Amino acid sequence: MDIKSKKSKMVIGLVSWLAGFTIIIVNLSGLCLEMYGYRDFPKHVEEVLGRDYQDTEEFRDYILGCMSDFLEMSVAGTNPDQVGEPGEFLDEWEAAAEPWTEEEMSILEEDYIPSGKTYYNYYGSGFGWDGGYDVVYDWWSMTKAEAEDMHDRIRYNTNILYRIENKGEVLYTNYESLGLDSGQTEEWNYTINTDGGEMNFVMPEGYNYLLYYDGETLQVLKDGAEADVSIHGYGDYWDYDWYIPGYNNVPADDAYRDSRIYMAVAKEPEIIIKKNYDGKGNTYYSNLLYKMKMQSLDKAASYRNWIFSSLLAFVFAALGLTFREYRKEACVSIARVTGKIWYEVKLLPVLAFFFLFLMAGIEALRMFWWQGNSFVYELQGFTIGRGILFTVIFLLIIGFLWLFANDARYNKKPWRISLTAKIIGLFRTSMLKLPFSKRMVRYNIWVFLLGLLSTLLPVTVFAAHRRGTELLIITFILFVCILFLQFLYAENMRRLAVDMDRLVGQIEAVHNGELQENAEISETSGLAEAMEKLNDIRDGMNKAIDRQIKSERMKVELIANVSHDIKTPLTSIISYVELLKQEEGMPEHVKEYVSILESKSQRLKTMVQDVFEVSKAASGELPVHMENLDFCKLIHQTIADMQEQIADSPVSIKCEIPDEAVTIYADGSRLYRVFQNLIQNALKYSLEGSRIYINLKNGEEDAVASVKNTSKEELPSDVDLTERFIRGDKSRTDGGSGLGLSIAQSFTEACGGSFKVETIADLFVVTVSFQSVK
Amino acid sequence: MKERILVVDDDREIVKAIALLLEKEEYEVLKAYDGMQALEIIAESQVQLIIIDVMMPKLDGLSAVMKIREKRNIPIILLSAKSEDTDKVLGLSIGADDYVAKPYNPAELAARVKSQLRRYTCLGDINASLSTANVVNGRLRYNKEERVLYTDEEPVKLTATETKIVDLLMCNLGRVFPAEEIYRRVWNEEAYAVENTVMVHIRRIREKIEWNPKEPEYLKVVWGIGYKIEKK
Repeated sequence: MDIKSKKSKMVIGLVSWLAGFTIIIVNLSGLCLEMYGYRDFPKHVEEVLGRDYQDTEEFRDYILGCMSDFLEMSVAGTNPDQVGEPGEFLDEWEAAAEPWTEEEMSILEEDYIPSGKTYYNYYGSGFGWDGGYDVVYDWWSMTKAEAEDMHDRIRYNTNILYRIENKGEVLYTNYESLGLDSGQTEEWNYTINTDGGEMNFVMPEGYNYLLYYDGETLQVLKDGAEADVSIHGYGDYWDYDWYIPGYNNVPADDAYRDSRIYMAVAKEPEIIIKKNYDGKGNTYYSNLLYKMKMQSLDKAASYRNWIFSSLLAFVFAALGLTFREYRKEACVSIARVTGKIWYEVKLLPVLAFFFLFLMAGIEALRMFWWQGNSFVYELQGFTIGRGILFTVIFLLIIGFLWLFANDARYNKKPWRISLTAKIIGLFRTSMLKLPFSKRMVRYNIWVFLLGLLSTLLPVTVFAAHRRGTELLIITFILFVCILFLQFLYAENMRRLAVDMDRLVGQIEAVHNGELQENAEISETSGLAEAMEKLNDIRDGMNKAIDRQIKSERMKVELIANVSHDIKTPLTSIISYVELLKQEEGMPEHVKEYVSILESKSQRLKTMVQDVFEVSKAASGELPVHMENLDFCKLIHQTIADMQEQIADSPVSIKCEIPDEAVTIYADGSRLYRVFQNLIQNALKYSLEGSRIYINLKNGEEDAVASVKNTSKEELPSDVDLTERFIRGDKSRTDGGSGLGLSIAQSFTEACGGSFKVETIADLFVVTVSFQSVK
Repeated sequence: MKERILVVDDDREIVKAIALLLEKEEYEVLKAYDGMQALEIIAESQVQLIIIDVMMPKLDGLSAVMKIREKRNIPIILLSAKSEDTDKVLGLSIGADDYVAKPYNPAELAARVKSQLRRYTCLGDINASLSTANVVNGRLRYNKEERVLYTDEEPVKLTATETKIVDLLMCNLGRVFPAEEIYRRVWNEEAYAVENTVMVHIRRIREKIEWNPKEPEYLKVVWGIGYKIEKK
């Protein structure tokens, strides 16, 4: 598919959907508002679209108000117990007599409600248009002077011609011939019923609407025919469009029995301006009927607009539905773009709109409370089918709200890309650069702020108590701040505690030698660095241990291989020495050589085995079979086993071993080797004629055995005799492998005992101690 | 008839030394220098015993033993420089009858060969081993009624005290006797500091029944506890 057309489809899909949606909302809200206040809205629409201003509710209200005023005027000053305030009407008159400027006049031609003028001095032509009910109730309240005054003021309003009679006498009129049968032929002839039978009524040219009150009922004629005054029947007063004296809902009062009112209304009302009417330089102006006419026309236009735009909206909606696949794509791609915008830029206007709507709503409710229906009527002028501008503004607002919603729908956590988040991020990074201790100190800022705010709290509470609401709000905000800070602090501390817990746990794990687990804490945590380092240490330890194990294993392997390689030729040597030995007829000296060879090869064999064993013991690979055994018995057995050697040596052995059993946990055969080596050593290196002392002491916790002998050579004081291949005599000429003590030590340690060598002058002391088993 | 023994080792000198040793003992010796050769010889000729090295080229000793064991039931003595317990266990468990570590003691090797051959050719005394009067333990047989100990079916000359000790240990194979108990039951006296006395006798018995008294196989010291004859 062509990208360009796809793109345009996306745009069309989105825009038409939005536009359709907006227009539908605007139109629906306008419709709802418009429906308010009309008893029969379909009828109202019909009337409006019929474009006849005389066929509207407003018109009916108006002329009936006028009729009421005329009735009032007809009986002015005749009420014996007048209750009305004489000034009431006059005030309204004066209000109506506000001077109009030329500028306002010109505005009036275009716009029906000039700014700065109140509803009253605009509509208040003195006919009490909105006070139809009031006038009916307040009749007989008018004085003669007031009636005169009113007459003076309205007489120039040629949109309404009137003739007010009482008891056959014409009281007020602005058209003398109105209602008189002069025999003239006019365009409109009206026939009305009077006391004296039918009466022909002559209408002046340009007038088509006639009202005639005959003292009992009001007759209404339009275009020569009787107007339908029973739109809703005559039942209920309040459901009634016409409240005409003389019908069921408004019975004619006796006071008006003698009144005869003729009233004609112009077919096409005009603006009536009378300058300097009251002699004070004020301009008087009345255009209500003209306005009604214009408004009716205008309203018809606006209704047509409404219908047209509704159709348009459906077209848009249909388009939007058709391209809804592209719309979704468009939504996603727009969300991608809007996702990069700081969230505040989106959120603040939305909040502002929300706030404005809220304020407007509250204001509207307030206005409605004070002004009632009239406010709604006023509003009606603004909404229905009213102007592209309004719709466009609404479209923009809705579009913006949609952008916001769209952003929230397709972007995950859109608030992350925001100035606030950025600032917090910067703050965090700068915090992270600080060492842990400083960060901890910084946390105290929370505490400080909390403390500061907490001290402010009672002050504001006190002040609020004295001063009132504003401070109370501040107090509340302060309280919320404190709670929020407290929460932040607690949350921070909680996270820190969790991290610390993990760190400590990891330290313990490393300490216990569990080197495999790699504990993680979040990177933003203050302890992340410490954790990382600890992990490094653990890795290092792991590597070191691995290396050590590897090298030990290699060493053992090496020694095993070497000893194997040595053993193979040694086997041959020993074998052939044996064969040589069995050879007969050899001279004596050759036999001596052979025996030397034999003894040396045997020694070599022993050494190879010793080397192998000691290296194994050193690398911890010596197998041990631990069991409970009697330490005393073991030493006895060893001495018994070596009796021949002891007997052959020039030294004697003194034992000091307890009679009762001393139980230890060790490997018997290894421990035998230990004491065998120790006693052999002692036998070999002791001064002739001296004694070897073998002691065993069973202490509280340890069984301590010691072998003491007096060296025949001077003992070097600076040499660790347990080191491998170290000997007391540096010449290395004697028969040992040099591994005796080393083997003894490593075997003892492999069995879990401790091994100690001391030299005091010529006294050589070896101590072997084991934990005794109770 | 001379028994025929196959000696296998990659070290020709060792093969020769063993051959000399065994020929002196009146055996016929065949020589091979790797596992494959050994298998060939066994296939060709009648062999009564094999002494075979573990580490050899071409086919190592352990594999050779397994191959041989598939067909033949002749005694096999493994000879190896590997002296670890684990090596011995492995060798014995795959079918070898004995295990001698290098460097070997020639006399001991000769004695082991003799022992293995005797058991292979005479097949032991089944009747004797079935009799309740006899305690048979590997190379050892003790007749309780005659109070005579046989090693490889040869009577061993023991003194009266030694016989008593052997009687005690052979009738309780594997049980560890402390020196005091041995003394009390053999000498019928209260025991006090008897370790040396008992040890002397033990050593003498060892010299009579063990191939290598320094590394006894049967009469063992359990260090720190006592003495026993190991159950085979």
